[in-house]
Amino acid sequence: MKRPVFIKLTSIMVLAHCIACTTAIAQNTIWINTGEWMQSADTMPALRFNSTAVFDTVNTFFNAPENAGWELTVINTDSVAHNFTINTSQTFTENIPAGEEVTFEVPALLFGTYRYYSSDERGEVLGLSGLIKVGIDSDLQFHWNLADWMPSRMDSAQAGTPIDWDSGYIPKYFSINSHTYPNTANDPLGTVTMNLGDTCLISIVNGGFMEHVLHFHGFHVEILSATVQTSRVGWTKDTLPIHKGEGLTLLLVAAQAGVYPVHNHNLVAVTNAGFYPGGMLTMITVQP
Amino acid sequence: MIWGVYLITATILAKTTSITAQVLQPLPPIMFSEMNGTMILDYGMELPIWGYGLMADGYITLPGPLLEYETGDNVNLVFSNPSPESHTIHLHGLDVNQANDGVPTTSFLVVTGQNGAYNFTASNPGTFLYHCHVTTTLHLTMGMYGMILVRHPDGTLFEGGPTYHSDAPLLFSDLEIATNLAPVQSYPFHDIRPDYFMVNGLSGSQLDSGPSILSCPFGSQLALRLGSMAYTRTRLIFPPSLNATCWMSDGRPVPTPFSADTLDIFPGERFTVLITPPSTSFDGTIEVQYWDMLNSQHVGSNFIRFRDASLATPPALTPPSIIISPNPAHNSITIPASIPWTVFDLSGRQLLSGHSSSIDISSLATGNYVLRTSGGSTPFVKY
Repeated sequence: MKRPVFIKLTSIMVLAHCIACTTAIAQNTIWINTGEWMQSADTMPALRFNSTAVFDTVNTFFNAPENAGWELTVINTDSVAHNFTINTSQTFTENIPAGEEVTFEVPALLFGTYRYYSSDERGEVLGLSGLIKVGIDSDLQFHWNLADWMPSRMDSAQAGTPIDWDSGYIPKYFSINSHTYPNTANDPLGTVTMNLGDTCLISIVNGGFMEHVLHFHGFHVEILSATVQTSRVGWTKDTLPIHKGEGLTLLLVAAQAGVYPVHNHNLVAVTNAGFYPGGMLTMITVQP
Repeated sequence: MIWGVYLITATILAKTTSITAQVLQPLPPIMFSEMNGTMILDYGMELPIWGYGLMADGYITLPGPLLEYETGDNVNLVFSNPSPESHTIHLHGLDVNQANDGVPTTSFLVVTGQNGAYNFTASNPGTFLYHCHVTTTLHLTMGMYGMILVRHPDGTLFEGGPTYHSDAPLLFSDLEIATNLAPVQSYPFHDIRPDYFMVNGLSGSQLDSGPSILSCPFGSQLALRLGSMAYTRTRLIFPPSLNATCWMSDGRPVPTPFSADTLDIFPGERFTVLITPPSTSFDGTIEVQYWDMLNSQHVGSNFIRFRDASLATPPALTPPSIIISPNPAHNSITIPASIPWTVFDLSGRQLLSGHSSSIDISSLATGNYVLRTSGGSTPFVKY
């Protein structure tokens, strides 16, 4: 039996009111959908966790309660088995056979931001990776699901042929919530817009295959949670590494008005197909 | 060239009332940019760079000059750009307002032949960076970056923080030699693969000479001001006897200072670490490793020497005797004498050998190579 034990947000709701999580639609079913992701001249095969049976390029996310398990149903519409995995102190994995529906209890988590994903090769390479916000009840909250993409590996994963893991990794695209700059600036889930003096929470997961590092112009942020760099909770920084699979929760105080970039400071990652500017670059706008 | 610099300086002085009004006071440094500089790589090869310099010096360097302020300073940083392209100065980590942020689309460009000024308050002590934010993937890669040090006025790292003897700014960076040799051909920018790794613009044996050797008296602490403008992740490995302790990151105290025998610094990050020589006879090294962030591979190392201040500073190294010309070269290179030599690629594979002073390299693919003789190794570039 399914029952709505947690709160989940949809893109439509966020567009309507960014982000009234306390009145969000309760939903506990997600779909593994197949589709395509287009960037520049490339059309890449894609897999996503979506909140409906219709493919959306953006993986869905969860706002879950703190210290409480919740029930989730995953419907796998792909022709290959996948799984639902969370890396906590103990890895949680639930297998989802091809074409089947599985309901299970997601374990209780402490306050913070966590990556959920499918750890099988095809699932990871084609983009089955989202985030879970736990105990985050701020009226102003945003999130950045980071990923990097190498089309040749994606084509191999789609075709079911062996992926060449031995050759050097040279991703061609770098995304935030499946958007690349300048489209990141129109993402209601990730583009930080606030008023002078406001405080917001930003959840970040690194769903890619490499380390990333984000630099904030104009602001320092406080690290409220980290799943890998746990010793850095409480630090105040402007440049933040995010390790593979890591989740971070940041506190940002809008101390000055203006428009400020946030971007990856590994400069290969602020490109689209090699052109600058692009990739992992978004904006913070603080209204006076 | 010198006259040109003086003329530009005079023009800025005439146009900048805030400076002319304080004519009896020491003038704040005036920055300029150029795109026609060179740096000397380890073993003597010259490499084109773009960069910043001080008007008073008249030349650019990689990294650019260290900018030093005190906490609370109200800064008017004047920047002149006589170079062929537009540039900016992004004040990385200083949380300046949008107008002074140095981002072309949200702040202002300093176009060719124009001057600009960045106004900000150095509110927090610590280690910061600056770099050009115009086509950052190219301008920064070519060398347009430097470090900013904001000192707390009472000799502590920060209000209520520890005292220390002196500062050692250490800026870690890297470059792809082929990009610097041919910047107009540097696309695609997602495939920059650094192959030369630096500490304050120096590498290898260049770090084992007088000015690059760190020292501090036994019983006192040296403040390492660490920052990265690299593509790679920098890993510092301190000898445990130095009692390396991290006190600050990104211009803020860390809540709990911690032992930092191994410290990773990602691109754009900064740390302040205190070290102390364990004895009056201490003479050791700090290893700096560079890790490819895409593949988590160790791709290079440097070694910083640290000694007790009572030990005499060793003399600078003698420049290498093997000079390759031309370098870069297309079909052939020449060395000063007919001696046995071997050419390797950067993976260590032997490709050519011989003993004549003229070496035919026409069979080599475009790229970086090393010529090895009994006198040592010298890199060269085939184009």
